[in-house]
Amino acid sequence: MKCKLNYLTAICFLFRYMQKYLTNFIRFYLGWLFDTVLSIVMPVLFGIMIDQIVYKQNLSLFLKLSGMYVILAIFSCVLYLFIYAQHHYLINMFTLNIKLDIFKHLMKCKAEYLIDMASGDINTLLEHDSSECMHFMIRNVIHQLNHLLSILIILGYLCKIDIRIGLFAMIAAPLSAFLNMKLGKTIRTYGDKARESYGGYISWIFELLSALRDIRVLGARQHVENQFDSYHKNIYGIEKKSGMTTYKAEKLTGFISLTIKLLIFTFAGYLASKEQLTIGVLTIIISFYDSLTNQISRVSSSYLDGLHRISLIQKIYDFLHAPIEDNNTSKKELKITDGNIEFNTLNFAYTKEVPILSDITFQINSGEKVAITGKSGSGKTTLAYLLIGFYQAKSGKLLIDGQNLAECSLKSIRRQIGLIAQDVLIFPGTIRENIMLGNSKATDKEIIEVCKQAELWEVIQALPDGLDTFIGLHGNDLSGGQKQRIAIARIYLKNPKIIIFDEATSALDSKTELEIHNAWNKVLAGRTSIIITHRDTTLMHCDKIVELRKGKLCSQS
Amino acid sequence: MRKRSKWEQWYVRYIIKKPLLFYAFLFLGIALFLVMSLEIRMENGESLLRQIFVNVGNSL
Repeated sequence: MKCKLNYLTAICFLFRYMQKYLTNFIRFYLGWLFDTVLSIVMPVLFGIMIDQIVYKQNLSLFLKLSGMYVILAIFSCVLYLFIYAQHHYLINMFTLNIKLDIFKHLMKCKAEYLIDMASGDINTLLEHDSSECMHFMIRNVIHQLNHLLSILIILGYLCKIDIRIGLFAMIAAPLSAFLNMKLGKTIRTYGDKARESYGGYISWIFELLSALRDIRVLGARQHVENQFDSYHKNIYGIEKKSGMTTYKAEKLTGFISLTIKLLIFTFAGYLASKEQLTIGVLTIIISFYDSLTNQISRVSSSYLDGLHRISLIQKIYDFLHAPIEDNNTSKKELKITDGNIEFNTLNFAYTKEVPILSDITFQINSGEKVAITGKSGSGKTTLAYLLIGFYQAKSGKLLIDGQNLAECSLKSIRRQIGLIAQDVLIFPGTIRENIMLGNSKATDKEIIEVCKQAELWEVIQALPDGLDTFIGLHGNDLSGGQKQRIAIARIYLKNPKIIIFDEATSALDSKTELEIHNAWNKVLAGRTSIIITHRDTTLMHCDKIVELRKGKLCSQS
Repeated sequence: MRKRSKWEQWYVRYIIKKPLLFYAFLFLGIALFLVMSLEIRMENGESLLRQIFVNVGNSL
């Protein structure tokens, strides 16, 4: 269920990640709590020491207390070791769990949802926003609780010393908090704008880096440089406004705190001059008031900081609640025996206003090699994606061997239908690892067999490490034809009943295309296949040609 | 996988995973507090008593 997160709901959302490490969190919290108590005790101890030496000339107690002061300081240092160890452990484990959840969700997220997300956004979500969740829990929740506790103890102690001083201090705290709450809303709006702008820039630069070669070829360098400049100017403008608002909020509260501090010091000084307060108590008041203003400003800045972080947690929350594919486990298994495909008055649209496919009705018989052709944007690829279950038809039926695809599990659909796209996915790894993506349990004999059928074996044999040759990122060490043949070998290893080729040869030269067609003939024998193409040379190899125009079936021949 | 050194093993086992050392340390800190406040109270009590004796002696 989607909801707008606030402090409490954000904590509730993150609590499920905390549960696993609850004991570590408790230890971390107790460590900080003890440290907070220490920071309150130290000034009191110091005040007592002053009084003992000034009024009672009790050197033995003064020395004892000095010794304890040193022991407490050493104790505090060792305590930090425990706190730091837990902090480090929690940061790693907590962030890793959130990242894992995001990654798992990414793998099963509906394709329609991912269309609207740039890869840079997902990257930011994984690498930056996830770690902010832990910072929120530590800096904006645990530290915040300790600051508040510290404020309460200090106020209580000041009241005990003198009720008038305590009351003075009590006015300062809510006043600062109120001012920060008021200004916090404006800061959050600016923060959201800055993040949105920065997120857009990150996505843009991420996409740009993968197209550097095209930019040079197109001579678009100047245009891209202008865009880069404009992004930075925009980010700078928003950050400047956000920074100014934050600065005003912090300085205003700082000024008010300072004024009240001076009033209290004057009053405490007056009481000391009348011998109603000792010098030691006066030092405690001065020290405590400094600590109090410090804690209040930390609470307010931490609150504002927390609001910034909630907007990042909201992004993770929304992503993790995005619709997933195949969430209905009761769907039946698709069983392809012959491979007959029937498109029955099929309709599809991303938005209601723009239909992508309208009333598509045709049939593909078992073992047929059918070409789907048409201009760009005619809906050819969408048709293939409907078949493989990336999208769901809005109305109409898609039947395979009489079974409605909408009622079958995606796992069974994708196991039995293979898709080879124009851009072949090549992972950095060996050729063997890349081919085995089709079947992770395949033996060497099976791999060699499919390589021969895909006309790839001769190429592999010529390489120094054969199947274990390492292919670089995106398969840059291979030609387009070789990559296609790896994809064919992979699909053949997967052994699906139906194969779809989506513009698989459109970027290849005619010689390579001929080689690929030879490979196809072996792979496609006895299987139903759909070939999406513009090329006449490819159409000649097909049994039937279906032409689409503006999302409608135009002709069948 | 890299083999952990003895210190790393000890660190993970007793500082991160097992809470015993931490709680023992925390109790030590609390005990230190109690001893410290008791010492101050006793010292204050003694000096108060000394003051009373001095005052009584002076009045006699």
